[in-house]
Amino acid sequence: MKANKYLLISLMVVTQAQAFDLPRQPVKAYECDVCSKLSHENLQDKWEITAQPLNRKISNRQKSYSYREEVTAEQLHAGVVLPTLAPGAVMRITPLQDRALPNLILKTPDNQVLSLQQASVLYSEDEAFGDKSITTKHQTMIQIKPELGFGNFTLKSKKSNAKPKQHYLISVFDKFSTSYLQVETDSVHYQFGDKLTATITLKDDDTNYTSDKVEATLVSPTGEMTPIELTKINHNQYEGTASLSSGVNDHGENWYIEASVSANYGDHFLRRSGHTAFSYAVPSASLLNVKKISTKPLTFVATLDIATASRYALQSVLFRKNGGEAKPIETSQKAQWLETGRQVIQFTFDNSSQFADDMLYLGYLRLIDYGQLKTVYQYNQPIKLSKLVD
Amino acid sequence: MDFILRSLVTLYLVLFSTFIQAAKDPQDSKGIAFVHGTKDHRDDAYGGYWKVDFIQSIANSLSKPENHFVVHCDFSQYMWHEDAANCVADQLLQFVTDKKITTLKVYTHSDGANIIRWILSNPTYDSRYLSLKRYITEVVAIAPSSAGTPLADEVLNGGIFETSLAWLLGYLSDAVKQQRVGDMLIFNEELLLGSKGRPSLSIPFRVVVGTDVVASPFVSSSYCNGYILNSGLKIAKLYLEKCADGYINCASQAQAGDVWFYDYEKTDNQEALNHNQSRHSCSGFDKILISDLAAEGTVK
Repeated sequence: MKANKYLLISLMVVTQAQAFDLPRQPVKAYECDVCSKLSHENLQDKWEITAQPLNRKISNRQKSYSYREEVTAEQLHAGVVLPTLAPGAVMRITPLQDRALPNLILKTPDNQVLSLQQASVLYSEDEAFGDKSITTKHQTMIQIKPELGFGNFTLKSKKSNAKPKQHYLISVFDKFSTSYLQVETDSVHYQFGDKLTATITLKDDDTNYTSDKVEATLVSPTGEMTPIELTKINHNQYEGTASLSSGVNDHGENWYIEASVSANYGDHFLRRSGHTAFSYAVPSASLLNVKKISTKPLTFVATLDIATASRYALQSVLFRKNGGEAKPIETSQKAQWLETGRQVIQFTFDNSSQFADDMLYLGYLRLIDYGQLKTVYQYNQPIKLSKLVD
Repeated sequence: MDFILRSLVTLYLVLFSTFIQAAKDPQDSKGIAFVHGTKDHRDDAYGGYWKVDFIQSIANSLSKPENHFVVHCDFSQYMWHEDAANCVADQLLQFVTDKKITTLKVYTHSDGANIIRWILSNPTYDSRYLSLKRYITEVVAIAPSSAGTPLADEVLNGGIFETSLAWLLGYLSDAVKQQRVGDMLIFNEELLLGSKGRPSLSIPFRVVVGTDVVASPFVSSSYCNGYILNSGLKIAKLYLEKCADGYINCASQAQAGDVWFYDYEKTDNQEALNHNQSRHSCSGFDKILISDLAAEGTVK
């Protein structure tokens, strides 16, 4: 135990004196209810990887051709107008209480009144599809016959025998429409104190709709909803910002931006709602520097600043450059329990092909906090091994 | 002198007995395991989720048919939950210990691939993962939801969980949240390896992609593993891309690992395997998997 302590101190002294400094991020502690239950063992694994590039830029842009509406039994009896922009739309009607649906009729844009069965090319009602545990739930799903066209359909219950407090959820998927709502944020990863910018865009290749109502909401993993104020930045494009300052451990769950839009063009009315996800973490640790301490085996030591005691894993990649771009050849993963304060993680690579140091780079440094199940630090740029020694 | 002689004799016996053991049957220590998909299958993984004739057909082809195991855990949880990944690790480690398995081939279906990928991506999370990883030589991921499914987004849109697709996804659960397209994008980027732009996994992760749903009363393959369920997938497919198995788009299935084959490339009469059929002996699927085992020399 004492020997380990001296080793740790000596490694820290050595690394601080001669290490490659990494961009440092401010760290913040969070209350971790699960961390102490995580493994306290030091574990390492390493393996050869394919030479596929690791610098892919990802976007959380999501498109929606759908909208949904919650209505009461009274509203359903009076008739709910459901606009579509293309033939063959799909509708689902689900009671929010466990009750059967009333008999429903659909009035088409050219005023035909049809039962749902008559109006649909595919129809499903209260079918459990083999899962007997689901049989008590009610739902109806239809695909409207393409020959009935598109426009304003009206869904209506025949009799008003449902209890007024009964609510229904109607979802419309305008499958073949060219108009969609696009929701995205300016990053996929955020940390405490970051400002998020959300962009909401209504896109249509054929028709120049003008959006008249656009809303966006920030949704936390616990379902807490915060409206986002939007500003128009282009035709049918809106932007809003939110400051992220939660200090709560989300246990790996993600945050969402939900948005909805309504628009019109002459007699045509358009509605869409959609969402996108992003990752949010409390920056519970930061890498400070990294240094190579041995060639055989190829060994590095990284120094970290830890704000919350937890189990951390450092994933890193060894790259080889032989002219052109540095290509990944091997990855190493080392996890250990780290107390707060300055700590070190020592990790090795096999370098089984015995490539010379001057061809090798260390990069793709990702620190995962298993207490939050989030990546809390990343440095992707490959660093030439010669920069990691004296 | 006496000590040296005795040591040499002992060494000779140890080596000789090892050779006899190895020569007896080199295939004896190979095993296979089936990992189910989303929802809680602690009680029905064998026979309910994976069909008995499918399991038996493949197991009986092994030189030791008893060297197969059907995982039965609660996958209504997030992949990292102890009832999901830890349960899988515990059961499989017990299996390899009991049967003295030295190499293990794992077949996963649907969300089961995400649970195995979590284990293989994070071998240092827990010593059980690291131990298990050393036995697994290959994963055959059948119709994996590697990039999620828009159906999970459909039922969770707007903060209200809708039960209309519960027969397929189960009721509101962390597994449904996990399989939303946006969530899987993040998990692939932060916690899972093997997808595009991420370090590859340490072992082969071969994907079988289901491409379509056929549910016509006039087509015999529509009846394999239940016409009603297949027709349900036909309706669910309305929410998916043209290439999809009724639950997951082909692009999502191919998101992680290497595509081994698209169903029609190897099935009888180039038939599609929908999400319900790719865990059953439909369109000669079990025979394809047996041929693959035979090519490795694992079968009788």
